[in-house]
Amino acid sequence: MVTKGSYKIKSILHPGPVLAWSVANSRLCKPTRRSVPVADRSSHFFTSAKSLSLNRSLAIAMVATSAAMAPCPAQSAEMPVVTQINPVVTQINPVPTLIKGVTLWSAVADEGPLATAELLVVGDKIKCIGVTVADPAAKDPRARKSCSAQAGAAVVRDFGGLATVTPGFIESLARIGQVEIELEDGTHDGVARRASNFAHIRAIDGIVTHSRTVEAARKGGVTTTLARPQGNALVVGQSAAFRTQAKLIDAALVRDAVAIHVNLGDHAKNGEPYVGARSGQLALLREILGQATRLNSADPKKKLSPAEAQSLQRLRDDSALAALAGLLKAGRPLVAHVDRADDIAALLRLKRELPFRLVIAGGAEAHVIAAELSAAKVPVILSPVRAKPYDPDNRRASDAAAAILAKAGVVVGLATADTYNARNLRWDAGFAIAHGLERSLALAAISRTIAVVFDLAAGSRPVTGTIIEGGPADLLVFDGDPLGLTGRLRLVATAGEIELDPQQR
Amino acid sequence: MLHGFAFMRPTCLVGALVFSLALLAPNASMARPPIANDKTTLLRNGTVWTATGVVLHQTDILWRDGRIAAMGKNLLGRPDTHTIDVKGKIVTPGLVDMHSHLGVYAAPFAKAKQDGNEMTMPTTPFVRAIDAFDPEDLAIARAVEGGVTTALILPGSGNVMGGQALYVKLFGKTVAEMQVSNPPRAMKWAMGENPKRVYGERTMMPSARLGHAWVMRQKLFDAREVRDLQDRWDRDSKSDAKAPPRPFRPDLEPLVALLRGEVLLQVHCYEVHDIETLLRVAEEFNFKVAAIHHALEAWKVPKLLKEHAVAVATFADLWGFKMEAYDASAFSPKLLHEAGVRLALKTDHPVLDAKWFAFEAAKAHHYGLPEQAALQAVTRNPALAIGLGNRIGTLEVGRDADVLVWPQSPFVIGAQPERVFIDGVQVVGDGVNAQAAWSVDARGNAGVCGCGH
Repeated sequence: MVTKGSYKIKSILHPGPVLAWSVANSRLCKPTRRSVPVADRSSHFFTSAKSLSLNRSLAIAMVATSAAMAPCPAQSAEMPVVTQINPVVTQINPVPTLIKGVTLWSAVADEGPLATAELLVVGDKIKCIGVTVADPAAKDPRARKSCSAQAGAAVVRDFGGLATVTPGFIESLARIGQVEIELEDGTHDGVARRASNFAHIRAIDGIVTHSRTVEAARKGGVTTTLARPQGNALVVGQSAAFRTQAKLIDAALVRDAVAIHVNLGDHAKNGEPYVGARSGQLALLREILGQATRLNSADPKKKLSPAEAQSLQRLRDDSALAALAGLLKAGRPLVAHVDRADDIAALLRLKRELPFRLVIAGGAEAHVIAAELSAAKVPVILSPVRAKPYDPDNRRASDAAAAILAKAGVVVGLATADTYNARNLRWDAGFAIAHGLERSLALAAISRTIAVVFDLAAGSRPVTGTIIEGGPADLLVFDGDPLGLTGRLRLVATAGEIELDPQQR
Repeated sequence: MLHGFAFMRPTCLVGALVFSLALLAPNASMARPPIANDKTTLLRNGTVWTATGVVLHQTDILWRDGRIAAMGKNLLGRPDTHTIDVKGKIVTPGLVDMHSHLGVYAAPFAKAKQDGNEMTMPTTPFVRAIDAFDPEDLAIARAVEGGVTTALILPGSGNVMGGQALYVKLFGKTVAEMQVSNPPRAMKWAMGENPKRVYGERTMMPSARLGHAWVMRQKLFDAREVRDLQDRWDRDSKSDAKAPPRPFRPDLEPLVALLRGEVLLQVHCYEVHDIETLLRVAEEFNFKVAAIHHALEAWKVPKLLKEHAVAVATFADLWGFKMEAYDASAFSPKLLHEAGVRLALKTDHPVLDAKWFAFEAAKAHHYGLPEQAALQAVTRNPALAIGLGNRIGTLEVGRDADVLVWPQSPFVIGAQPERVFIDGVQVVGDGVNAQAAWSVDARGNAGVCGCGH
């Protein structure tokens, strides 16, 4: 057991935003004696914090903040966005594997299926894509070479020509790894209450990778998932993307601070404090985003009056606001969890007033204003894909929503938002196909599109949602239709980690 | 799930009981009369999945007065027979959802429509789903589009003894029109987490499984006493004009009927030890359990369930949302079927959307349940488990003409029947949903229906 409080904070807890900022600025402040016991009592703190309906992510943010802020002088620079992660090496299958006898469905735009394909997986990468019998004159460059020559001592997995390879799927709206048993508070990350802006809460701090939800998702082909803080607050926090295969989040992490998540509409009314009906919600969001924008646009060279400086400093001292400003400055999207068309229209109005990237999540009625979304270049992550038009917020939900949005030129992703049955994501894509979505767009909607919308290829452990030479080895092999009920998963590769014939429990 | 999310997510709600006894429940006499439907309908050349385990190819089905009159090849209709060519299409019985909260958690969801759980005392065997059922639930018309023709409407699972169930066919404007004629009686109970959460949070009994079993037994002791007094009266005082009236307790009548074997008991029950407690109490008071519902651990004790002739009404792949749902297996339907347990699937609507009931069977099939067994799990088996096996659930001569015509297998993704007949009447088809068409709200929103082009 480490005794030094400051050391313990660094090693046991992820550094909070303020501490991370201090590290990034090479001016790590030594916590005072007063702040040390707070960290030492962290486990007790979690228990009591949870009893107050706080969540683990928030508790960590508070501990780190109190430990680091007390002695440190007030700083004026913006916060860094990316969390400092211990450099844990991902466990990688050391044996190269040659997958052959498959049709490759790469999810790369405009790339057709490649029959008799071969893929050589080395480490966490796809080293080679080719075909069994190379044809130097082939139109498709991938068909001009074979991978067998460079396979060497690779393990060969030959699927006899009948199987299909797709990219690993990406779930973006479930609580995989965050909620083990929904009704058992102790098994999940709790709900943050008592504020409207929780932009400093990071999902990464609450993730458990050793979870049946993670296992079930992976064995259903979901190789990457997005976690976001729980709660009904207006600004609910920062999401993290992680692969569904690793012992600890540090190794599984694809990217932290992926997006800022915002609740709007009827479900946002359940938050504490009550943020009011729609007009109130929008007013509050406009105020919060406006303040963050003001922080970001403050000119450090400009001479401020004492009153102006004090006013600006007050905004900087609000760790949630400062975190939000940092995320916006780094170009992270604001994901609005919202269903009703009118609420989406209100967000489009807000977007014309203030600079931010907008993504619609849920979007039951988004198809009603598909043209407006297309013009504003706002993507939609549709969920549930099977319309369930029973709430006042989603009465115009349609089974054809994905197809309608795509036809209007909106970038469409699909999500189950189902922590336990994200394994059925591929059947949601199949359902969208049955209701008019083009097949290649349906596959992309659960792979490439999600990676693009959330910039998952931008980090040091990229996820592309595609199968490309040199790209990450997140891929699946199916017997039968990958997006149909006949499809049977034969192989899952998660950053090169290979699992054969995965079985649900 | 139920309590904390009672408004948005009414899950696992408890049961009710339909009275046909004169004193308490005159509703049987109000139930819908046979539909005036003397026209005959003939489906020609279908691939008929009969749900008896047999598939008949190029087979005709003829019905009259709402009942199947003939099945076979080259049947002859009368000149006025409505003939539909269904060559290349699959014909199945209407789907039977034996755990549904349609109408008692009516859509659009609103606090005003939360009528499925009378959570003011832990035992309410005397309340009836029929008194809460709203035929204008928008989800009903959607459920028909998905092929559900009969549903057992249960109260929720907030109470140990939730109340009495309602049998409906999903076609009609009023409760009386929708109610199945001469229905059996069924009652809903709940074991496990939900009641103790509801009452434990109020520091009331039951707050633990300890109290739960006692609450059940206490009521059953009372009911047994009433039954014994009634039996003594029947033996000693029936012919005595001066004798006091026959002992009667309206609040215990449903339980007395259960002890007399007149009620099909449908119990929300997940874990193995809860199944054991239920069967222990059933043995003590000598009553039968018709089916356990949700039952996500039933796969561990198929032999026990088979011995006690208890059917299982389960989810295909829902799991994890609470402790008693955590040790579920996606292979449970397959395992139970192989062990010879009577297996039914159900939606628990609105937990799962009743419209996609067939998808549950499709997923069970994906996880190893044979195709025709998967069909039986949403037709014949639930019909048997709710006491309607001689009327619905299969395609045989004499059965109600609740018939679905599917453009392809009901077990492909997004499958929906293109025609739905209930008691011989086409409710869905040719671009019309007759169940939706009468509701202004449903008309406005659904554009009638995206069904059966």
